Amino acid sequence: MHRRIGAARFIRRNVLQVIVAAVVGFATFVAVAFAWGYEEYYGNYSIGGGNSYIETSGAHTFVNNGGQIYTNGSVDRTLYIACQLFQKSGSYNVVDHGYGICGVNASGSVYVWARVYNQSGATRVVSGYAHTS
Amino acid sequence: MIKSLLKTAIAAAAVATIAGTATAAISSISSDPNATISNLQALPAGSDHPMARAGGADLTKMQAIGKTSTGDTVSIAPTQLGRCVLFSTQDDFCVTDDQVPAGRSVQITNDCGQAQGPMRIAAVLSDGAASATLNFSDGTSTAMRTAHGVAWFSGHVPAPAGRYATSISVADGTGKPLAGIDVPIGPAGYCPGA
Repeated sequence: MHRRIGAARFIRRNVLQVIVAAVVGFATFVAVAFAWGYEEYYGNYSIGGGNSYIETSGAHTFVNNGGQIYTNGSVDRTLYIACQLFQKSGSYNVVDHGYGICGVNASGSVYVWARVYNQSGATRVVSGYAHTS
Repeated sequence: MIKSLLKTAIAAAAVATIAGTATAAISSISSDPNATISNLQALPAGSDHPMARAGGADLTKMQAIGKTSTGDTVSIAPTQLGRCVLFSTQDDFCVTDDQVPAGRSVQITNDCGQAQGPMRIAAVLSDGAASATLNFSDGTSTAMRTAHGVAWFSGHVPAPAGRYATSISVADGTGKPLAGIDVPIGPAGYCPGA
């Protein structure tokens, strides 16, 4: 009871400090937590081999697109995948291929879609993450 | 008045520090190379070499090892479970030590925006490797640039009926063959979705 009165008095006497501190704290949290301009985590469901793919919901000025393929919940570095940033109507189209993990970079000057392809012969869960600068 | 402003500034700084520390802890980079996507999400905006950083590369130990034929610098950096190969074009990749003897250490990067666009094949080689040769479907081969257990070759995306890379032959310093590496995609795999 005594402590509750103390806290109430503190807040009443330091309203300005409390408000400023809350605003600064929230702004700091937002600035650190949402570092990339726009980001999209996509896929994370099972697709077949033979170049089946997952894709972002739209085109953005993505600068990086990373992908992973999983077997039983763990990254499977025995399976080949490809990450792509490309225009559906245009010539920009860059691809990176790797075992288990891939990642491709773009200039960020054009709107591109992001995809991750399953280039293995196995049906597996594939996920991707793309972000703008 | 001054006392009040001072108290306000101190309180704001304290809360900002706490919030920043808490957020950084939530979104910290893992040294686990298999946490690449979550690490990418946690990287600060504008980070260079995002894939290598997300793969757990220790960039304080980054070491330049050569150049590609197109003038790009090739570097290596260790991770907790292996190493990353970094290019000045930022098309980096990382492999774990157990991938290498299994022949699963090949990265291919290519431009599909034009016919027969630029393409690069790179691989981390097994211990003792001193040279590597890229073999093509038509029986020809070409030496790959090799340094510090990494081999790379810059060429072009195969033409529809043209030759394409099929494997990498590896040898030690005496020329003795070591286990080779298969190139895991055929000509149709370079530009999926096309």
